[in-house]
Formats: sequence, C-alpha cells, structure tokens
Amino acid sequence: MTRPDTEPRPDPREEEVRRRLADARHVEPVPVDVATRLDRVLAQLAEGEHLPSSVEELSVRRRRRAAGLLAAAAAVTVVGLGLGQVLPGAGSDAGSNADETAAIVDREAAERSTSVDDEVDGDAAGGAVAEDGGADGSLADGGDAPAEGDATASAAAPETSALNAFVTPQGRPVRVRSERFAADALRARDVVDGSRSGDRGAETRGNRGRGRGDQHRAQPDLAFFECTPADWGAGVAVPVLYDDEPHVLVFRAPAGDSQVADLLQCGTGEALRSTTLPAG
Amino acid sequence: MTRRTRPSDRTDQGDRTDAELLAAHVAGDRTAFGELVVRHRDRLWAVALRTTGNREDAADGLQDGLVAAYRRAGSFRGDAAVTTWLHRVVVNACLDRLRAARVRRTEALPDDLEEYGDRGSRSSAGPDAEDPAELSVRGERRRAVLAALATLPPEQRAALVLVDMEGYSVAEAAAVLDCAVGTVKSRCSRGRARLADLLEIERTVRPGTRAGNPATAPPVPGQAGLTGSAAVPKPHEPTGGGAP
Repeated sequence: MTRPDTEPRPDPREEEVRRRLADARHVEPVPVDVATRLDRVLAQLAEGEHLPSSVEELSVRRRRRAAGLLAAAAAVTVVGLGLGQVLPGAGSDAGSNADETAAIVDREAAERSTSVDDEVDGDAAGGAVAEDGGADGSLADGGDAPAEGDATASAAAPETSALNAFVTPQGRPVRVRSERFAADALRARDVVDGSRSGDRGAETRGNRGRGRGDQHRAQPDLAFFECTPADWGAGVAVPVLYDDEPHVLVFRAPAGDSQVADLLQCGTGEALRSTTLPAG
Repeated sequence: MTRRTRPSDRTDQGDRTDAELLAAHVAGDRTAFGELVVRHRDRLWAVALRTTGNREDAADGLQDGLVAAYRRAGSFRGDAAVTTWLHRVVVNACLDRLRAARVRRTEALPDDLEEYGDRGSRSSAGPDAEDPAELSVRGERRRAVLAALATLPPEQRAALVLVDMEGYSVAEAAAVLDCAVGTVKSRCSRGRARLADLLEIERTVRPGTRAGNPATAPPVPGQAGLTGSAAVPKPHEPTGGGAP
C-alpha cells in the first residue's frame, strides 16, 4: 500500500516501536486449562447456574462491600491498639480482638458515613455508595443492612468481624507511596501508635504545610475507602491508599529487632509488597 | 494491507455468522454462544494476555468478559460487529482488573516472557529463524518490549495492543475501547513515544536501515527493510473475523 503524498512521513522511532510490538504479539491459542475453564463456565451459564464472578456482579458486590465497609468504619474505628501488642489473628478472628482492645465508636465517622451523598470529593466508591443507596449496602452478600446512624448496632453485628477490624487512625486511610514504601509504612505505624497514645497530630505530620482542603484530600475520609474484605492474616491491618489505590498494610508481630509490614491487595489478601521495619 | 475477514462473514467453522449466533443465543439456543466463543477466543485471549500482562488476570478478565457478554447479549444492538463488541467487553473486564490492582500490574512481568527466551514467535519462525543466536536476540527483544509495555497506563496499553499488536485500525480500536478516534491516536502516540524511550530506540534512524538496532546487530530473516508503516508485520488473520 502506498502512502499518500500529503501524509506526513512517520516517525522512524514510532515505526520501530510498532514493528517490535507487532513482533511481540501473542500468537499461541488459548491455553487448554483456560479453554476448559471457559467451557465449564459457559456450560454452567447455559444450565442457568448462578455464577458470582461476572464483571457486573463483581462490581455490584464491590460497591455493596464498600458501602458495608464505610458503615463498619463508622461503627468500629479501632484505636488504642499499639503495634507493640500485635495480636495474632487480626485477620479472620479479628472480631474477638476488637473485644480485647479498646474499640471506640467513632461518632464523627458515623456522621460522615451517613452524609456520603453530600460529599463533593466523591470517587468511584462514593458514587457507588450513592448508587446503592448508601447504608443499604450489606456487609456481606445477603447480609442485613445496618440501620443508618445505628453505629452501636453495627459494631455488634457479626459482619464486623468479617471486615477484619481495621485499625483506622482517625477514620482515614494512610497514604503510602510506592517509591517510599518503607518510609511510608513506618509513618503508618507511627500514625497507629500516635492514635494509641492520643497523639492526634501524628497523622498530620506527614502533611505539613497543607491547607485544610488539601489535607482533606491528602487523607481521604474512610467513607470513600473501597476495599473488599479478605483474610489479612495475623497482625494489625491498616487501610492505606497505596499510590492512591485502596490496599491494606498489615504489620506482623515483631520478631526481635524487626517487624514485617505486608501490603495486601483488597479482595484477595494477596501480598504485593513487603518491607522489614525496625521493631517499634 | 491485508484485509481481515469481516466478522459478519460466514466462516469455515460454521454455517452461521457471528450476528446469527448471537441472535440465536438470545433466542435461547444453548450452544450458540459457546460456538461464538470458540470462534473468537484465541484472539480474545491474545488481547487479554497482552492487555493485562499476566496469565492469571488474562484468564479472569476473559472469563469475566465472556460471562458479561453472555448475560448482556440481549442488549447488543448491532451498531458494531459482534467481534468488536466481544473485544470491548473483554478489554473492559481486563481494564477493570488492571485498575483494581494497578500495583501488581506495574511490578509483574508478562507471564509468557520466559517463553521467548529460547524461541521465536510462530508468526515469523521459519527455517532461517531457527538459528539459536537469532532466537536469543528476538526473545530478548520481545522480553524488553513486553516488560516496557507493562509499565504503560492500562488505557495506553490497550490501545497499543489493539492497534500495533492485533492490527486493528484506529477506528476499530476506538470502537472496541468505546472512545474517540483521536483518543486512540493520542494514546498510541504517547505510548509509542514512551516505549521508544524505554527501549532506547535511537532518535536518528537512517532510511533503509532497521530502526533502533545496533549497527552490528544481525539482520532478522524475512524482515529486512521494514521501515515504513506498511512494512510493519501484520499479525495473523483472526480465525473468525475481525472488527469492521
């Protein structure tokens, strides 16, 4: 095919990139195991079986859980849990941990959660909450929705344990940057410790010089923290925004002079990064 | 330029067109959707794999997309070709996963990178390409390209996968990605510029030479003199038709 005279000559670099991309095209057929899985799924669909993993349902479930999470965050903002007292089983049996530690019903967070629709800084989670009717979302599929403003009832709800009782300093996720993972993880730990010691300024130290509006943006309200619960394992689970995406940072039990912090993926609990910090 | 088989054309894999299969599925034919999937799944898989950069997410994205397509088939209005619509649903599912787990995407390398360490692609493999040194060079080059591709934003990556890897036109890619043609052009341009930097492709390329290769690099059999866009190797023809 000839190129029209009026068409500018292509950038040789771009052309080289295009050539290399074309050369890297995947030409293998779909793997047998993937094809088998697809066949099975399609057969299930044809039989009218319920499949929970479609894009639409995942999205709906995520939104529902986000709504549930914000309700739980409003109900149970666990503070006063020092990292020196890392409790085994902050994961699946965290509900009992909440009993052992000082669980504080954060009324302020509860008020925030019930006025989500008024927030102007709404992101996908916020929008989803509004779409799902806010507190109508259930903590788990099929679960009952917590009554609006009924923080105490929500705190006692069994679904709370399924959320693995995040340690949520001031009801807000902590920002963690990929390029400063270790330093920010350390700061996150300080924030939690600061909450324990009543140092309410600990979290804001990392945002020195920001105005009030900026600070609000820098530390988004937990009501907008969208994170599907998973088994975080033993340790203290802290909701964080890792490069602006919801994740969970889990501080494992200190071992000697060090303590491991794992960054886990929402929904799966998969460990994405890990760093070793000096024991606090 | 080779023209792909249009998706509405009848194929040698069956008597019904894609549109007829989809309509049959909506009408209650239990086998129609499966037949449609078998017709296109290899290409959908390739797009999913290159868009996500890893096998696990590609499999999940492909499944999610096809399940969604199965359920949404009734809403298909025929504005685009069925295969374009299928690609759109699958790509969206993959992008959804990428956005949800951006961290892993930037850290992980494509799962099939190791496959290229000791062999070339089927598309170009031939008697002259079996030289171990040549295979090594090509494998290393692909490894670098895929690793660099994995660092791009998901939307740029998807555009490049569709246009430069799968050979869709910009308009076709725009239909798949459900965005403006100009947006696809912009994403491709930015993505290529970024890849050129990452791959350290030389800024000055002499006409008639293979751009970006060291002067001492051995020629690639069957690809000498490929400098213009018309010379960009075209991917294999889809088994069941491409976008309109």
